[in-house]
Amino acid sequence: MAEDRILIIDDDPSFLEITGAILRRFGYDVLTADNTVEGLRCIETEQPDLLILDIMMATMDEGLRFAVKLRQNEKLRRLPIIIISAQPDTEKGYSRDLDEDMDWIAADIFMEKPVDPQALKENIQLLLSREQSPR
Amino acid sequence: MQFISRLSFQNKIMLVTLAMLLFVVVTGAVAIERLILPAMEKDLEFEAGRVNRTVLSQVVELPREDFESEAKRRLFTLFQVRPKLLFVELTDADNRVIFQMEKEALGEGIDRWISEGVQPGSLYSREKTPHGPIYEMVTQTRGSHVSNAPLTVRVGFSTKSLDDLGRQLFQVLITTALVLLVVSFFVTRWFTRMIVLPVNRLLGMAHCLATGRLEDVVKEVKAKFPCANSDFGGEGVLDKGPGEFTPYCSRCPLARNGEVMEAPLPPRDSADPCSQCAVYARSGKDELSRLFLAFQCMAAGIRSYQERLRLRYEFEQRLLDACPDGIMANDREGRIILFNKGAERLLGYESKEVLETRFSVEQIYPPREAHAVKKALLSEEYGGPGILVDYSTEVIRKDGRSIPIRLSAAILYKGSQEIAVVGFFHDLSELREYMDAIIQANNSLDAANKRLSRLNRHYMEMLSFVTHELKSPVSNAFMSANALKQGIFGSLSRDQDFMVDAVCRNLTQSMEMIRHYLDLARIERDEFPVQKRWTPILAEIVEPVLKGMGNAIRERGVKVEVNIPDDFCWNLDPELFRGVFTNLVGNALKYGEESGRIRITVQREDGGVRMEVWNSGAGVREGDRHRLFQRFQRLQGPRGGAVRGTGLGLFITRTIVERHGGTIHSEGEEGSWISFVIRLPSTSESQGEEECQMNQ
Repeated sequence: MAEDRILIIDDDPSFLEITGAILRRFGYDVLTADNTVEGLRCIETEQPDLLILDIMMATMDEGLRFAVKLRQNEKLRRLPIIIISAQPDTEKGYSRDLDEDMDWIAADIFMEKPVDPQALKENIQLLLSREQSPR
Repeated sequence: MQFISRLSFQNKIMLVTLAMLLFVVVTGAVAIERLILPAMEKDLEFEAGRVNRTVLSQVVELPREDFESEAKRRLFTLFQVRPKLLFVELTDADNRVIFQMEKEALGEGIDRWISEGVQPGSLYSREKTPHGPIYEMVTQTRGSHVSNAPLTVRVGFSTKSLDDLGRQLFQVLITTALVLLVVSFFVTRWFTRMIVLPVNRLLGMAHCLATGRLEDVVKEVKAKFPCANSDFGGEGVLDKGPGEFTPYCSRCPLARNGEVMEAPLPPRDSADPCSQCAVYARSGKDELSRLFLAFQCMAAGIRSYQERLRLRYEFEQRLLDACPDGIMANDREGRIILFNKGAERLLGYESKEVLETRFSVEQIYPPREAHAVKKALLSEEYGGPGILVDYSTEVIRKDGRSIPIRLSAAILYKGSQEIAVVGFFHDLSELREYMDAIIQANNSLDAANKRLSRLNRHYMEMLSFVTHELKSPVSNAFMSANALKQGIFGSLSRDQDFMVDAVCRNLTQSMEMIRHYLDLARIERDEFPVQKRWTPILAEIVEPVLKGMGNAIRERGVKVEVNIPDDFCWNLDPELFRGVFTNLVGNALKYGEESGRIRITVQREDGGVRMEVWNSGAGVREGDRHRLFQRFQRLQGPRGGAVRGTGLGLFITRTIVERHGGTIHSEGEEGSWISFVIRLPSTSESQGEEECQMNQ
């Protein structure tokens, strides 16, 4: 079986490196992008099986808006997305309006930094297995 | 004056007396001159005739031969002692002197004039001699048995005794008149004084009373007061000092508590206690005495009343002067008629210069302000009309300074007639100074507060920025360490595992601190919105929290007991309450007993909800519990040492609970257990509750 390809978009290179290393140890093919433009290009060209997306990058809600855009794209809307936020739950007030607009579940799974590697692995496996199962 | 003139008839009496005396004197003089002295002259004339007849009777029968000698002898014997008889001369027809006695003494230069009333046979004449007038009787007799030659007898009587008698009579008359004059003067004077002086005194007293000079009345009376029953032993009390001034005895029914009620009246019957009073006994029926009594009582009564008025006036004056506020009154023309010490202090004028000049009330106000005050006084806006309460305005001092005041005033009426306006002026300058100082201090505090707030905001922004920026590297480090610990990059030796575990614990604490500081920054910036929704407490709050803290729970060997119905929902912000339970359970793990117990209970209570996180362990002293919810307060660790932390967890927890309208407190027993109890009030929002419960 070919390695599942996971794209990580985050403007924090350290996070990209660490998460990439961990996921590679889990046996995934990891692509990284430090902005959403490059990430979109990578999605279009490399067609990852799963996307790990940071919320706050150049702008406050860049990650969320990018996720919404993907969901609105007919070709890409099935791409599983794990959103990782550096903000604690209690600090998400800034995106409440956005939450309501997007029903917040523009992503499949939400995780908060620091991410537990095992939990991340479980969530990835969950989404990939769901994706591969007949719908 | 007319009455006085009428009363002063002393002089008239004197004049009448003098006239009567003069009349008596004149009458006496006339009587002496016309009656007494002529009668005495008649008497002399009669005596002269009798002497003549005696002479003739003695000589007429004498014989011729012894006629002369015998005549001399008889006549000498006869006239040896005969008072008043000046001379006796007997001559014969030849004018030869037969007998003569004392003729030489008459001397020459006799003026003789014949008197009327010459008796037959005799000639009565009166002569004026150098020795005074004499009365001379010449008697001629014709024929005798001795000799028919006529004999002439001349008898002279001195009128000196007559003159002396007349003089003496006049002297007696004058002396008597003078004595009578003197006596009548004193008698008249005494008599008139008896009548006039008391009346004059009464008039003087009445005048003094009428002109209000009671002191003079009292001095004028000066009499011992007639009340025998007086507590002062019947002595007059008019000389007593103020307050003791009462003319009545203590038993006198006319006096009450030592105060004069009315002037005494004559007793009506013997049962009246005043019937024993010497006031009436002494006055008797003497109208003047009773009038004096009436005056005394009137003076005493008025004096007593005046004294009370004076005391009252002095009391009111002291009251006015003691008042720290200025009190002024003005009449209808605006002239100030009352000006107390407080007003002197407030305005800088002396009361004398205000009251003794036509000082207008408008002069103490700024231009047109007096009109505004009058308008406010007549309006209903300040408690009126006619009353002004707490009206703020300004007055102008004598030195020109403007003083802020609070004015209360009222119009005084007599009947329906406005007679004066009285005002009470409270100086607000000191208060204004205080207020200015307070405002200045407040401005300074406000500025300082703004600076502090700005600094705090900057500090919080910096704190937020720093912690936020820290969070990513710390999270990355935690993730890396966790990956190592989980053996993702290969198995670790025991030492490596210990060290990585230590790194994880420290990074966990660091993450918690970052979370707290971020929460604190948002609380300080008031960026802590509460988004409530009906939330399953167990599924969305407690279980995620416990799951996230699973490693720590396992490491501490703590048994967690959860008593929450699966379908228990409440209207709250689930994200904020996950933070609440994260803090409370985290505290229970950190400070609670190792291998101890944690019990989480959520249940309904009194329409609201009660949430409790209980753990066994050392707990907290009761005296320290109130400090738990203050910021930067740290609990002691289970072994008495400090546990690393921000000291913000319970402060943030309390803030979240209070933003939900609830309360939080702690209970416990030191050394045994502690629990944190949250109570949220009942909610009126029911939309979503049923759906929430159905989904569980």
